Amino acid sequence: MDMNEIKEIFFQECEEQLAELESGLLRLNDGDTDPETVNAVFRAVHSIKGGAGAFGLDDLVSFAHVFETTLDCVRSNKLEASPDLLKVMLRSADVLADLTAASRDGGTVEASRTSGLVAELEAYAKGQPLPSASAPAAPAPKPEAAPEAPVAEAPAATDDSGFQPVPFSFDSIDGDDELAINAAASVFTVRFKPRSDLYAKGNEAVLILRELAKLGDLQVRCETDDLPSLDLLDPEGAYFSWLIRVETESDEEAIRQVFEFVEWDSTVEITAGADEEAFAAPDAMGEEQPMAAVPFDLSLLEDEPVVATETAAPEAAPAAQEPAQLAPANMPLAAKAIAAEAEKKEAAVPAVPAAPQTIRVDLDRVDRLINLVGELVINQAMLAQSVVENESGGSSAVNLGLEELQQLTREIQDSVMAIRAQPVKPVFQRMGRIVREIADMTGKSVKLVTEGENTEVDKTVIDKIAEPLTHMIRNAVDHGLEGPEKRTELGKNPEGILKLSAKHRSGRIVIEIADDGAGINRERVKAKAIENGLITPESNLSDEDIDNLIFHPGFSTADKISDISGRGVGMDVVKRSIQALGGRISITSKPGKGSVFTMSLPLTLAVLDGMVVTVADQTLVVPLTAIVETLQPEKSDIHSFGPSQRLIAIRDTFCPLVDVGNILNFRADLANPVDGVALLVESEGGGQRALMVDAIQGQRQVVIKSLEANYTNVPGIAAATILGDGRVALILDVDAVVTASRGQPLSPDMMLAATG
Amino acid sequence: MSTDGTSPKVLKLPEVLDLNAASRLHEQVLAHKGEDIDLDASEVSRVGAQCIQVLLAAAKSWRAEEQNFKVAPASDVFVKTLQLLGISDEALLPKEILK
Amino acid sequence: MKKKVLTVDDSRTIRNMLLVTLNNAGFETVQAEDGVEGLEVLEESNPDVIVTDINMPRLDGFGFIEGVRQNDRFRAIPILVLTTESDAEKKNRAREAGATGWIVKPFDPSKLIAAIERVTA
Repeated sequence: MDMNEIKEIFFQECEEQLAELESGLLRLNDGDTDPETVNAVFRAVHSIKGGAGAFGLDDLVSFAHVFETTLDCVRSNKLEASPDLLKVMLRSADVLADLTAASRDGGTVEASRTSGLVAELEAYAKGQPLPSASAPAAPAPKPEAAPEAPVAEAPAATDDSGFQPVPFSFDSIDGDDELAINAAASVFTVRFKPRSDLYAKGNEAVLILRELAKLGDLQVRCETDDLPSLDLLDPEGAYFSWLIRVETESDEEAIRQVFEFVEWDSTVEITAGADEEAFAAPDAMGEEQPMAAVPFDLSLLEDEPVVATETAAPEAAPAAQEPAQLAPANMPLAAKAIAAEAEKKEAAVPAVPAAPQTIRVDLDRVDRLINLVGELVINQAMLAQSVVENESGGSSAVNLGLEELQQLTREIQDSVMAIRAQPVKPVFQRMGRIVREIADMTGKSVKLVTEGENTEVDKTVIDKIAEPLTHMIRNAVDHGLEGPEKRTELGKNPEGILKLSAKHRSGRIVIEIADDGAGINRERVKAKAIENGLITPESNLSDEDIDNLIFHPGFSTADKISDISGRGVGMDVVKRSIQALGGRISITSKPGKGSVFTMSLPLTLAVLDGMVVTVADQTLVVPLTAIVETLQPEKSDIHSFGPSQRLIAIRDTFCPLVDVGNILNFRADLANPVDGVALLVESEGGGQRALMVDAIQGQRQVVIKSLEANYTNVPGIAAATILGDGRVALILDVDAVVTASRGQPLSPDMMLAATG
Repeated sequence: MSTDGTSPKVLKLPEVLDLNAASRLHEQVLAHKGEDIDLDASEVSRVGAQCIQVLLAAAKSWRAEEQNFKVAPASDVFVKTLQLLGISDEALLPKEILK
Repeated sequence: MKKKVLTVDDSRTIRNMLLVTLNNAGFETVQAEDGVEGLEVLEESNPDVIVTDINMPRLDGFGFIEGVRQNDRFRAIPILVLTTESDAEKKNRAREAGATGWIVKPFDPSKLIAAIERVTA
């Protein structure tokens, strides 16, 4: 372990602490009054500060320190966690996150953001909150107070608690620099009288004197006059006191340092010069206590862990046996000790549930395990198939064994997948910040409510949902929710509610984003679609069809492109990226009441339910989620137009036929639709296409093998898999094939390969 | 001093004579009151001021009753700790140290 | 025989720093993540000295120190408190709870080792 690794750990830990910080602040915002919540929030900031100090990350330390100070006021009930204060704290948490990221990845955080919040936090800590300078309407936080508090000075000025970041280095362990060399030795007289508390707290007069002896030559006289007779003596009392003459090259401060830990539990007087009179006083000395000089070899009492290892070893070795020897003689005491211990433990930790036991595992190891289990599943399928092929009758014992093997393999697969499953919580937590930012930029007041954040899904999916989710959230705040004035006019709460929820449904995860805004303005959507030529004015569309028009490429209802959701990212892109994950998205909307976006995603990207099909003697797998239905085309349903375009009539609509074999260059000519099977798939933009394949072999769950990782990116192909008979089958990228059928050639850019 | 002939009781001191050992040491020493006693401190690897308080009080008490009380043999650590603390009671230290 | 140090701190970063510093200095190190675990590990490990943080979940440093001092077997163990605050209030509370001494965090490795040596025999 070196400093870089510890730094790595520090930043990992920061991530966790920042999440803890944000969720804690949000709970406080929701009226949580549990003191432990405030404590947890405080600890998060405190912990970041502590680690940052060790690495000399001064910007982070300064800001965390101010933040912590204000939190401490809340913790000690000196300051109320008002909604306004919590707003400032939430923004501070965002800045703290940015400062952490800047410390890790380089870069800087705009000084005005830091200084403004520093001023606000400090004002709260002093009990004089600034007038809410950061009303949501103010675009970028540029507080008026900023000029007076330039960022470079502000943190330094606040650091009055004496907190000094000490950059941490392992090199300085043997630094003996406190022993400043003062050529001239001087003499001090020290009077030291311990109280019993000194011993009770684990301090020891012997060790103090030993420490003092390191400074120079001692003459020690022990005053024993206070020692009572043996039967009156409290064995844990403090009766001895010492008069010590120190001849040292160090100064008085160095001597005082020796008593640093005990000055409260003893009387210590240090005077310059020798108190010859006191030393000489025969009365106090008593005849049996002559002044003892202690210039002797302290080696046995010296305490140098590394060296002492050798010298102390022979003597210390029996130590381990010592308690065992004492125990029998002391049984009642020991029993009492155990009972007291049990009692104390119960008293000390009431009703704190034991933390679940966890271990940290490198993700690579889990990935490798998942990969191997994938191989196992394939191997098991191959074995099963060859048994079926070789033993027509089939011995029942073998078949039974195979069945059990299959069962076990599935259970192993499920359990292994569960290792990599993670709650969506971190992603949801990130959304809180997105909402705050957009709300600030648009001058809207939004409350984010999350639900089901402990719903688990494979890490491969988690990593990919953040981006579409961010766009949807932005869209919902920007387009869905009305501004506070408008809402008040409409009799709604000026604060809009955005609800983000996750749940499991039939083997998939369903994520909903619901707002209580205006809902889809269908008139405007329709007008826009007509204007863009997506539909004709005569089109008779259901409300649902109109709502779903927003997923059409290039569709945007915002009159002017806003800064937030108008960066060329429309809902069509969101839909595409969700489909690339094997997911679906839909919208339902009620005018005046709001909209609900629902996306459903597979729980993992490691396995896939697919339909195994044959195309030009090749075996392909089509993701089942893409298929709406399968049908056997009749000759009368097929209509040709243009040189190579064909349509198929399905009930009362026409649907373009996509010749998969032709598009993938498996064959040069067009297949005869009547000889094959049509798979009706839903492609981007909500349109349907009929994929022509030669035959359907069956449905099965397949283990996804990334082509990019194992070979190279192939246009039109999402990934590969190995079937039960050992053959490699390619998994079709439905969207890419459909796009290619419209005349655009397959290009690597189109690829939205799944990863396994 | 004590009568000759009877060999004194020997009390073996534990290796660690810290805060936790003081009460027990006090009890053990008190239990031998009224008889000659030798304390074997040869195994002592750590001794705190409180246990030395007990031993010194015991030495004084034995002396007052004219009973024999001495620490012998004693480990280096035991001897050096007494010296560090400025204790030079003849009952607690081997004679050669006191000269 | 190496001296054994029990460290109690909820921060992984600090735990690792303590571990590296103490191991480099020749100590044997056992670690716990909060006061509750600290009291458990204490039973098994019987350390020579304890270094503990103050702000921790479940059972904080003050509670942990009181727990150790009330334990007949372990009450004599020196306890050093890690504190970022150099203000008197924190130190006083730690002292009242029974702390032997303190180390200001972020700690300088040589000062940590010096403090441990100062309170251990």
